[in-house]
Amino acid sequence: MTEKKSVTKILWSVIVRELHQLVSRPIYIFCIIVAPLISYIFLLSLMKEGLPEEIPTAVVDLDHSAASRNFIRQLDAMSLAQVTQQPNSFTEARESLQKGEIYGFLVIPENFEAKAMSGKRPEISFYTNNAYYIPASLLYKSFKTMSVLASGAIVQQTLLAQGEYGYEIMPKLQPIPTAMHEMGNPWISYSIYLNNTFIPGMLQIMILLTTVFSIGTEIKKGTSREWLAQSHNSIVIAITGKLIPQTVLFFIMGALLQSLLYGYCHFPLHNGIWPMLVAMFLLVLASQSFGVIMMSIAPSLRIGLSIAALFGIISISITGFSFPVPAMYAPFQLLANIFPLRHYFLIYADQALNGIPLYYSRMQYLYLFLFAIASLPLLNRLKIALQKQVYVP
Amino acid sequence: MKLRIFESIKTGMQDICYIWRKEYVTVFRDYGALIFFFALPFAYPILYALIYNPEVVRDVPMVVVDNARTPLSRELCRNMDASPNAKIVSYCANMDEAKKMMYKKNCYGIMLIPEDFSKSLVRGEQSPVIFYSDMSILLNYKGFLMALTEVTMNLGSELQVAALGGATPEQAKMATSPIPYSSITLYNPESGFASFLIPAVLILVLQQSLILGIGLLAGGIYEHKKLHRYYSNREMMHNNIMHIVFGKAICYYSLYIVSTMYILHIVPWIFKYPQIGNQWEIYAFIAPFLLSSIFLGMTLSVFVRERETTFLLFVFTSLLFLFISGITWPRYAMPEFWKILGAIIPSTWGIEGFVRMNTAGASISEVHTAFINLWILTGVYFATACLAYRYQIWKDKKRGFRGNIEKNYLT
Repeated sequence: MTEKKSVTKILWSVIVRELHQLVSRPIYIFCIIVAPLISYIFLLSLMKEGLPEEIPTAVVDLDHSAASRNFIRQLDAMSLAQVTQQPNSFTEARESLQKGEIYGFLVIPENFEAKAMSGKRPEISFYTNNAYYIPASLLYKSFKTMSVLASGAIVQQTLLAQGEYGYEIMPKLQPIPTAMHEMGNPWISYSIYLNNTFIPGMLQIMILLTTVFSIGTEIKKGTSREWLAQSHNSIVIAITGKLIPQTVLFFIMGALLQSLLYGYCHFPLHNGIWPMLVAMFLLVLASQSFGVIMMSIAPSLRIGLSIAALFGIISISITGFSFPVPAMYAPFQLLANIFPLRHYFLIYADQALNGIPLYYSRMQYLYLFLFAIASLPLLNRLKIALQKQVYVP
Repeated sequence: MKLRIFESIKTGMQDICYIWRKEYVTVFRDYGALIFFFALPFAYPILYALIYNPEVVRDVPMVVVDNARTPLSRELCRNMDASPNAKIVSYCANMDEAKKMMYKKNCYGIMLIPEDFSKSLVRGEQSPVIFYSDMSILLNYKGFLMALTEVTMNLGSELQVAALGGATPEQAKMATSPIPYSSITLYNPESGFASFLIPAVLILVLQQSLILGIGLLAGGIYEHKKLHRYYSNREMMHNNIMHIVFGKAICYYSLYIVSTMYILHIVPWIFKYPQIGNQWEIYAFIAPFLLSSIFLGMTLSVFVRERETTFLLFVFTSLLFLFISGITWPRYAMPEFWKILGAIIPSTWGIEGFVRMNTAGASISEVHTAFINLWILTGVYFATACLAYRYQIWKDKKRGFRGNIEKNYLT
């Protein structure tokens, strides 16, 4: 009983020591509070509209007829596109595309109206600059919709002239309509899609870097022996005491993020906040554990930070919310599994976006938990490094 | 009088070259700096390119709940399966089974064909097909949407033609699509993900490795109180700050010639990314980009008090700079504040110019806005870099610390 009490006392003294360090250096405040806050505010306000609307576009009208002008007006009225230019030729339009004034353009051929009326099938062509992925995809959608609608208008006119009833026309125009259900994100909001995983990814980078820095700086400043001594030579107490204050602070930042996402921005959250809070807590622990592992393997501050930075930056790509993991090369598919953010992303998709039973996320929680304790076997290695206290510049 | 001007220019040049040479020694003695200046620009683009190299997503798994079970509904499924974007992995008996498949991540979409699918069609009514798509990965959704639209439209026109009865092919075309359309995707014909993202990442790697490396060196100087080396015993130069800034910039710039050629020419060439610009014009364009990045790095290095804090301060900005450049979220749609902030980051203009020149084949005159802005940034950051160094030297002198000047720092 007495021994247990003394352990808590030792732990408390290490925690107090760490708290002193955290408040004494502005860099910690920057890493734990300022940098995550900047990321939250930046990304959430950047994409707050969900979709970039009114994409600048051009129409090359070679016909100059009532029909072509009507077409342009209707394209302009679409929420995604805005006709900002009407160049006189294809070349002019291409040049403004290269200058970046527009993201795509549409060419209405000569004698468009006359040909359409006489059944000679004039062809509309549209060009999108796919070097810019999102605006190009959205413009493509608008252009295609307008072209199909133009065809539909002609067919409708013909059928009406042939004496068909109004209700007979739609089935002839589009016998098989589609009802697409975008589950969880019917607005196709990029903010919902990206920020739910991207911002935790940014937080993860800061956790990794801070963990590595706070351990490595002890070696660098030559205080690691003192730190171990204060922990009565127990590496477990030393690490626990050092990381607990950071765990608490980063978890508070993570919870703040989730309250911004699901409370302030009303992003979909189908199974309540608890599964996500648990996932965030495990993400914080797993990232800290990875930080400890990095320092154990390479107990040099600079190398540890290099690995942490590489790992943190790559995890955003390899998590596979932008480019899906099954489409990557096989080694990356395997590698993706050791990234905590990957599992956080899967939990988010299951629990917040789709709201499926918790049972199906069990493996992801397990993975994150295993990551969190994965550093334990390596602690002895770290202890030796802390005792040696060698700083490599 | 004239001679004196020439004389001062000459000594100025000599001083710049002196700093330049000294900086080389510093860089090549520092493993950390070498990693930032050489290993990072070499490895990052390869790693990124390998992750995104498959470019497109094909055969995204989906399941079908076919409640109609007619030849027509089966044809719809076959066409869906045959499209490059989707792949039917299972035919489920009901929605519950399909949902289970989705929960287990065996599929990302469910196509539901209603019971009266064929009946309605032959009756001459509209007969909708329902699709449920997972939205956690938008590329999958996009693939499904394109496949579904294509397949239902084609099948629909076949039905329309059949209903015409004895129409000539020309009449059939007239009846189904009186105004045909063609879509041309320019500059990135297969809409590849890597071809779109990697050029931006390349530019960002150049800028961030410079900022990180310069920060690391500055942190070392601050930490080990070596700043006096830059001003003590050089009083005859009146401690001209511009010489220090110029000398260092020339050093970094010359180090980056090889990295720049590798990143902007060889990497896109190895991975066969769109590369239709004039390479010499791209190099001309990139000159102010590198210079402004170097001066920005020097300015920001004021905040680095320790070699390693450069990581903590600058790593996370890479992702913010990527977003603020407008490669994913277009610049015109950004809130005004971020647009202005983006305009003072060299990578914003660097990415814009490089993507237009390299990927879209624009000439340097077509990206003159970005080019001019980069020169403006170069000027501004040169001034701030001078101020930053002046401030640090002033502070250093005030502290009055002058360690032992090592011999190799005195020629």
